[in-house]
Amino acid sequence: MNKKKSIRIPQARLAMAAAWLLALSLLLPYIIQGDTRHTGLSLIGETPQIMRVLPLVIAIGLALVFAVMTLAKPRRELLGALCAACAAALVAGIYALLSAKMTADASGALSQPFFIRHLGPGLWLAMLMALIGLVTGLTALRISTAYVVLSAMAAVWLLPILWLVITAFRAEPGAYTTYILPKGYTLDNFTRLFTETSQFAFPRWYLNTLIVAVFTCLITTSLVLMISYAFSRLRFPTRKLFMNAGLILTMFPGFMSMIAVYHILKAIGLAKSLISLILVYSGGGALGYFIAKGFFDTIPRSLDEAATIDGANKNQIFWKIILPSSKPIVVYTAITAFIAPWVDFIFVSVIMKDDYQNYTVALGLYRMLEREHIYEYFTRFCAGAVLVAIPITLLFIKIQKFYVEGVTGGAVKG
Amino acid sequence: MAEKTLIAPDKRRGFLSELLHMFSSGDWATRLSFFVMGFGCLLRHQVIKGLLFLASQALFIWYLIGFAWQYLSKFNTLGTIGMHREWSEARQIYVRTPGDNSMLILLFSVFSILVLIGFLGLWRASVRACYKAQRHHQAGVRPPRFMEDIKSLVNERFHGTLLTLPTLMAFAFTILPTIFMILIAFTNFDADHQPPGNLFTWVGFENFANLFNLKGGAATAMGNTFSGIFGWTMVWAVIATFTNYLFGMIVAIMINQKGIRLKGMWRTIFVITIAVPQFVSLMLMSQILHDQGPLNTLLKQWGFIEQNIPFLTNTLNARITVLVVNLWVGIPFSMLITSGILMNIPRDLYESASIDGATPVRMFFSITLPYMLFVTTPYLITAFVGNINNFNVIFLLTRGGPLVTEYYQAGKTDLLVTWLYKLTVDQQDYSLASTIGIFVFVISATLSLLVYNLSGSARKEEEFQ
Amino acid sequence: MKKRIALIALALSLMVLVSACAPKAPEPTATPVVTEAPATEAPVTEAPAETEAPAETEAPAETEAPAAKEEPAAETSADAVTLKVWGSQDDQAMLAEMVDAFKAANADKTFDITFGVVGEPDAKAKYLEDPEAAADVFAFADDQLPALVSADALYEVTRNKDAIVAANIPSSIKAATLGDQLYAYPMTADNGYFLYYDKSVISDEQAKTLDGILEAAEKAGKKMFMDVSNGWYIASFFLGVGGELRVGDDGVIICNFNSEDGVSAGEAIKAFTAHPAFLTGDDAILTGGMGDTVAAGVSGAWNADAIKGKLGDNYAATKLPTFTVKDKQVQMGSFAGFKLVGVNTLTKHPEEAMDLAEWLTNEENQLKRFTVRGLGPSNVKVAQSDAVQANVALAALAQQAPFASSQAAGLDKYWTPAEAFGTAMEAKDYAKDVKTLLDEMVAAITAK
Repeated sequence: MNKKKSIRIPQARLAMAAAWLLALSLLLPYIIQGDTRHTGLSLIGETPQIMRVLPLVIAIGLALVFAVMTLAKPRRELLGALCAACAAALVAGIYALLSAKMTADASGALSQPFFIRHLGPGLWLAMLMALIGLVTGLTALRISTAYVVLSAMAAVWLLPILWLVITAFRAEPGAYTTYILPKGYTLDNFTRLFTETSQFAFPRWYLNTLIVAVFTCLITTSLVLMISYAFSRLRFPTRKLFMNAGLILTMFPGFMSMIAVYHILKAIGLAKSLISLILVYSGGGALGYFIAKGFFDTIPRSLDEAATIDGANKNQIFWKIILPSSKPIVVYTAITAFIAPWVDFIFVSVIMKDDYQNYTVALGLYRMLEREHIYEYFTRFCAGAVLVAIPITLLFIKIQKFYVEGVTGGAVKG
Repeated sequence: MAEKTLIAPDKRRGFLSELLHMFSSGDWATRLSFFVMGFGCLLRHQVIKGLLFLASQALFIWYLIGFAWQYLSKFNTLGTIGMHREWSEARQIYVRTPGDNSMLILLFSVFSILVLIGFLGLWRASVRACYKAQRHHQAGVRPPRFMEDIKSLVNERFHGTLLTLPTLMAFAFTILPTIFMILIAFTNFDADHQPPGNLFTWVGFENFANLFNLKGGAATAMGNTFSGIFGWTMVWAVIATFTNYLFGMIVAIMINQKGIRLKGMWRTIFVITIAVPQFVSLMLMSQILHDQGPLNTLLKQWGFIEQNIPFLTNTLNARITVLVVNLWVGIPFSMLITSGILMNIPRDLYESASIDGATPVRMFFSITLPYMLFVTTPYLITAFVGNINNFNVIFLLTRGGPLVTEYYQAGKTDLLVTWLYKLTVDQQDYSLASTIGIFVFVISATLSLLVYNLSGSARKEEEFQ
Repeated sequence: MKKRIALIALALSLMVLVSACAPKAPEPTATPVVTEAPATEAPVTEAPAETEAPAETEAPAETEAPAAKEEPAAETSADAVTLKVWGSQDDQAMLAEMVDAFKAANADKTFDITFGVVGEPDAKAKYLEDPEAAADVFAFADDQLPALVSADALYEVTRNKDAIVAANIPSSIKAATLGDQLYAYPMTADNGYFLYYDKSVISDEQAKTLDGILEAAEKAGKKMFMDVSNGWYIASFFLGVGGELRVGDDGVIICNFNSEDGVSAGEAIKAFTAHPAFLTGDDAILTGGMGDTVAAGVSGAWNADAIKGKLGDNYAATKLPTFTVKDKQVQMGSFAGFKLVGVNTLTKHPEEAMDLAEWLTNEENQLKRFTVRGLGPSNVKVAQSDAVQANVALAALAQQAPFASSQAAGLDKYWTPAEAFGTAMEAKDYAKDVKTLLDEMVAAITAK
């Protein structure tokens, strides 16, 4: 067992002081307008608002109690409870802040519409002290304060996704509602994606995308491995030229050349087919070999040399030495290639044109947002987006480690 | 190896002088091989090889006459005969006879020229092979058998095996289209010159003159728009790249800290946003940030604002908004990339610094940042170029808006790429768009080549291994 | 040297491939065999992917087949007429019924008619990307007519022209005419906009003036919606004061929205957008807020169902209101748009394609389009039928018709500057005065 971490006493004192000030803030005005002042405590008195301020008061009360107990006996558990109470107070404070308008309007004390400037110093002090209490408390416990920042960031990153998911389950149609939370929830948006296929053949498109993604993934990965191995391990006269050419080729704005690509595909008789999509995505993906090449560069050359002495040729070195130690970069390349067909909607529209049966999910979803469709289809668009995101998310969670290792190994060197 | 000594002297010569040398010192069979490909090989026990050379020559001639010539012959004018229209009394319609299609002429001419260049390479290879066969013959050595040639493809010539297919694909789907689009910049391919009804033709540098205001006078709106958008593109690319990189690194550092638990969970939270297709999350963002969108609704409900904030319709607001949303989109990526590298920074650097009493902030600026910048320069440049061409974020969020009257078909958050997209899709002004495309290309390519070839990591390529 | 072998094989196959499959290829026979050649040269990992691909994607290959090769098709069934029709996604089922009826009515010929999904707004762009692959018969919005004609995309309507002209309302014929040629068959006449309002908030009398609507809406704490940052809608003010916007003979737009009258219209827009009850946004804002926070809105027939659903019994629509210019009431103008059906000049069967286009736009099918999809007819008889007259949205559109100018086509350079002006007004960005903004806007619109 590790010895128990000690408490940093000065910071713990600060946290306790914050808790006292937190309690004091209840006596200060929370909402002011003209002569009307509501303190935190007087707001509790009025029934309709009690639900909105009560959590804050309870949290503050708890913080005070734990602060007193910590003062009596500085133990980790008590200080931890103080921190938790401060965190709760912070959340409850934010809730009170956001619902202050309703509180004020319901109290009927305000003649004019409520605005943020009508908030009194009490609420602000409470929020500030809760934050200080939390931060100093965590510092005293030697727990990283980064948790606070990370939690806030996680909220910012997840809220839009949450909104997407909620909208996918919304019963009312339309891209926009005048309220935030739906009035009704339903699974219809999902089921209708699969049952009402006469206009938007979602299952068909999903299958198309899956086929294209799988083959693109296979071909791109093979191509990238081939190119990277050649550039990393083999030495031949035109190597530098090829590498530089490959690097800059992707930089000409892509959709400019799409028209030409389309006509080339048409000339080979492949226009409007899934094969052409696979070819185009693989061709584009193959040029992103730089990261894989960088990764190969980090595999020690001495391994190759040893193998060569043992009589292996270049082909065998690739299979026996390089490939087995390249799992991360193979995974990285494969994921990147697999995702491309799910997210592109411009290239596929140029290639498929009017051939609606061969659309991919992305283009189909994008079409749902056109003027004539958006009202009826927006919630189904969200449902479709969720269905696309689920497999990719699972994939990412599963092989995140390789992704990080692969891209890291490769990006270190270009 | 005999082969090495036989062919080595020729390698140092240039393309032409090598050919001249081979012609002058070759015997009759080698000389004839200049005109009948593979003849020398056929004569000297390399039958399969010789036949393959010969067949490719026949094919090429057949291709040239049967297909390429009809386009190549019109390459200088891009076609002269427009679609013909004639009243037919019997059918009661205006009968159409298709004319030249300038676009296809240009495209297949470029293709044929590439094939021609490829064929020249093949032709030189055949001459070389025949010359080598002659040297082998003179030295009394039996030239390598066909099967031996094949075997070398997995060893000495392995790069050939590996790179042939990717190169061909690159030619078909990247190089050829790129050359085609670059050439479009020197034509008048726009809404008034649409094939197949109309022809377009070469106009030299006129589009460049228009764009860069070289003509002066009337076309100032175009020049203004270009300089304005170019300025914003650069500002955007610099800020977007560095904010993403910096904040991504900070997030990565926070997650990788010693005391933080559930590292995987925190990372996953950010990764989820990568998994939602970008066009979906960005369309959602533009809905959320709309003047009447949920965010404004909420802010008003909470009493934070009286008037809706024009997040996307006021120039300054919109520019800030796209940068902030770009953070939302980009931080997960840069977090993933930097977090792996961070773990590789030698621990002892930090330990000695902390003994010297350095604060975490100081350590970040004196150890972490320099190390990261050194190691990830290539990534930064890729990101910078990616941001110059960051179509999705701008187009899906603001469509380039807010539009202003002093710009030509563009708005205040338009990047060069979104502007050229609008020019092609809405205005069918391909020639102007491709002129802009060339400009973007030159900037990105120069930057990347410079950095990749001068940066520490590229120069030390060999040392690393 | 030995990599050359691979190179040779690849070069060979590539050349055969391209020359054989090119549009005017003499011998398309060799293709399938040689296409596989690159795959066999590639390393082992490659082979399965390449060879499996065609097998797995068998289904798409089916759909590909009919359009792929013209020569065999023309050869094997010289009497079968192959045509392709473009229509929007919503129209597909209805189009199929119409085409079946067409086949039945023309039983003397064998038709092989396929469908492609390209909506009317995208028709021009998709057509120009590859005219050969475009449909033989396709629907488009009338503002695309000049661009299509300039690309020589459309057959003139010469067969049975007089009957077609007589059957459709004159404005629709005018919209399908350029110079003295009729280029397309009018299909619908509902691509315009008018006023929707909530009867419980705004009285019929108040709905007649912009000021009345704004006042009533403000009193109820609601909004009036109009997408001012959109050239299509904002033009109604300028057209109302008699502004001129058309394409000159040289293809350059003529526009006088910065004249004295135009500036007063601009000032009216400024006052309108500054009004507290003014609300802008896209269709989603209107359909989402109608009956809730929105009391009135300017939009078109495509939103009728959504708005009707939201308002229920309070659903009402009428012509656009009047607005105040120098203390006088001026009726707002509008653009009236039509959807037309055109015949591709590259079609192999012009006569049959024309018959089909005429069929798709005849009286019976316009009625069908109205009953199935609620689209307003351009056919005179259908437009006057009781059913159409009883449709609130279409009736409102008809009321607006006298004040509507047929959507001046070829205005490609108009939209963006007009949107820019509207954006400045909505953002209440008064750094430049209205006159300056309009001068800049007109300069951009009329630029060569």
